[in-house]
Amino acid sequence: MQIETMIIEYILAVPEIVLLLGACLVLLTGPFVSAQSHWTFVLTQAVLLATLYLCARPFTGQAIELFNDFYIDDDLSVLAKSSMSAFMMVVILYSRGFINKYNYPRGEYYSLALFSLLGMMLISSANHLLMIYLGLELLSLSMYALVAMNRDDSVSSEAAIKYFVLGAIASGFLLYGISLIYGLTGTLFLSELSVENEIGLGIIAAVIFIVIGLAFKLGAVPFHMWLPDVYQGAPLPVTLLVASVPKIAGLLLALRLLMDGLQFMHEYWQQSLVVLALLSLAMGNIVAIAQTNLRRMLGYSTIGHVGYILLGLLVGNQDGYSAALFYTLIYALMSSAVFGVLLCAERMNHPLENLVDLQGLGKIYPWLAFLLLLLMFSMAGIPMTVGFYAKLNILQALVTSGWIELAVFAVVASVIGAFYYLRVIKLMYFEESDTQGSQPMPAGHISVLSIHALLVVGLFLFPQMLLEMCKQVIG
Amino acid sequence: MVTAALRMITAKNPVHSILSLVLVFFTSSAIWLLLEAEFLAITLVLVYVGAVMVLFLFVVMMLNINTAQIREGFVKFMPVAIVVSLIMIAELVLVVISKEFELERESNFVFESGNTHALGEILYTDYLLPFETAAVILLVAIVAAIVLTLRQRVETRTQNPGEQIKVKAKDRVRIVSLPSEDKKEY
Amino acid sequence: MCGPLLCTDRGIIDNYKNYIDMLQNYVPILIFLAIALVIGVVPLIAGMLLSKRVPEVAKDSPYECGFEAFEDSRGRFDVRYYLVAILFIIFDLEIAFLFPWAVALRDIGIPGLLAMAFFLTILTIGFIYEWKKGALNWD
Repeated sequence: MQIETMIIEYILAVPEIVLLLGACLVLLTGPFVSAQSHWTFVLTQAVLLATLYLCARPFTGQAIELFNDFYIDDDLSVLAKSSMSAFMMVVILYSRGFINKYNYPRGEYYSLALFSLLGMMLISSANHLLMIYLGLELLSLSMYALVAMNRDDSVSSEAAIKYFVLGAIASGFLLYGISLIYGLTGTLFLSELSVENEIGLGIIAAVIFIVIGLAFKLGAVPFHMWLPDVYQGAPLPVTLLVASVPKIAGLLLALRLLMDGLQFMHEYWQQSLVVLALLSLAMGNIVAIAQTNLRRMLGYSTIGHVGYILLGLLVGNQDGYSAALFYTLIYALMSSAVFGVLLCAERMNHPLENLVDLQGLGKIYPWLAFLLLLLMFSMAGIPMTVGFYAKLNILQALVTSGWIELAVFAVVASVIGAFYYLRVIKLMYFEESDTQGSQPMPAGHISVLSIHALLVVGLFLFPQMLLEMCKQVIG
Repeated sequence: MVTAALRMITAKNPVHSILSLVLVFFTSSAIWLLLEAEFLAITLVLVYVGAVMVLFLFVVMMLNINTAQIREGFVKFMPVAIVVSLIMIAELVLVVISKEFELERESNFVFESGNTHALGEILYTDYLLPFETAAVILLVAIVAAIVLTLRQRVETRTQNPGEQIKVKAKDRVRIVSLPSEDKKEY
Repeated sequence: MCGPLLCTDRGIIDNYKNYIDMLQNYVPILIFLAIALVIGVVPLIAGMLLSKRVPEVAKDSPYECGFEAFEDSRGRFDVRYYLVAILFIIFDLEIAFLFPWAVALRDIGIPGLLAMAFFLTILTIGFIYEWKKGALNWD
């Protein structure tokens, strides 16, 4: 290999390298710096800022393949990586208070979060099935450890065990599909995948295995069992992490696998995605109504949203993919803000664990309740919030490609879903509570959270830029 | 190998099961060797027999599993187990007889230098990125293992020789001057 | 992982001579195994054949200073062994990566050396971490 090309490769992959070194540094602060030190947090944010700065570049419309074509640097990966680093910064910021309050090991917590981000970035720019698998393992392994971090709590341990076992099964499915693909096509490079002969039983089986693995990771019904448990059982900041950034990585995983790699098998995976999407939409929205635990309810709502994302994917053209991307980004935005609200309330010793805890929040913390109101509107897809556009895009993509029945089903599902989002609002504003004594809000947290949540309205007024970006990176 | 595998699932004592599993690994390693997959054979012995099975042994000995309880489920789960194994056998047969998997063999260079060597030639050059990613995954595994299992035990009493040596007399003995009291007549 | 390198044409070996050559490298191991088997099995059989056995209840029962045995003679392992074993597996895998590297180092040259240096650096960071964290201390 020429030295010049090597240097260019390392320059283009510099965000990952910086992130890796930063994560190692943060890890080493664990044993070397005093447990109460704030430097760990500062260092983590600095690393993320550097990563974000190095990732973000204007779209060029070109794709560069590096490291013997294992790594691809294109607009899609740029958008994904920048948004993931930005979300990670917000997530770390929200988590800080909780971590300090309950004395979680900081170096480990932050560095595992950074390592998971590294895994997600590798997935976003993978051009080889092996890289997809390794990135996914890096992400999952960090996540398992984070979910299990609260060792003395049995709910948390149960969630971690479920997550770990089901995650391992999912990886097994994915790997089995990958190995079948290798046996059939003789290559693992996504851009080279194709079958010379007619499509046989083997490759169909491989695609089904891969879709199952994907569904496990995304949490689509009937492979969703881990998701509500993890949402409920994991420490709150970890739930925030699981609920936001990995969704983008999950979508990128799907895009790389299905769009870049298996587009030629479109009509085959489309059918399985239809089933998954229908089940997720129905199950997520209906079961969420029956929940009394707020986090569990949000878990089922995630399943419903995953159904929407799958609807976008299954259309299988530029409209569909970009709609799914837009939806995922918006979903990550809303979801991280909702858990940001939960964390903020927890910091003020008013934990919102069950739905009952929401009673009278409108009186106790009016501003927080207002932000939550906006977010719930957005999740339900009510106009004046960007969640409306996200859903509209998906529906448009469905209708233009002739899936009118699916679009109708999705609308019905989200109308059902609106019920439990609106119930949250009802609880906050129309129920009385005898809890008193509002504490001062943590200033940094609430200011970032306000901007974050108001973006939901802001993006409704000016969605064009993000929409254009999503279209551009897919094309 | 078949005997060892059968022995593994029928043995009453879980420790015996594990030792039979070790034998299974040894024999499969020999099969790899006969198939010219030297590297896999070495890795199987090194990693599975050397480390993974030791871990299994630790777990079994740590848990003191009640063997009677385990065997209760044996008959109950038998039908499920048979169905699963039939599916797996069917899959394997399909893969072996299927025509789709007949790719031409790329070259014979494996024989000339041994496949450990061939693997070494591409793993560290062509497959550089996956290789380094594997290192990061191992690092995360270290961190995860320590975060999840290491507890700082407060109750353990340990000696710190360094501190023992550094200790000065005045750290241990406090000399208090007490004013002598006058003798009193009672 | 295996790829075309390891897949044989269903046992049809094109090149018998090389195949036999390769297997011949393993003859010492075979001899070693045979000797190990002999050393392990012969004393057992000899003991069985040569010793005099007069079984009796008192003789066969476990002896513990004249008391009934207090507990199962198989003591439980400490949980801390587990951490040590996990850490051992991780570094064992690292060794597995070193094998092909050592064999092929001459052909892959400086890039290969750098690749391995980076790999080991990352794992050394893990090592420093576990050392400083006290995971290697028993108490």
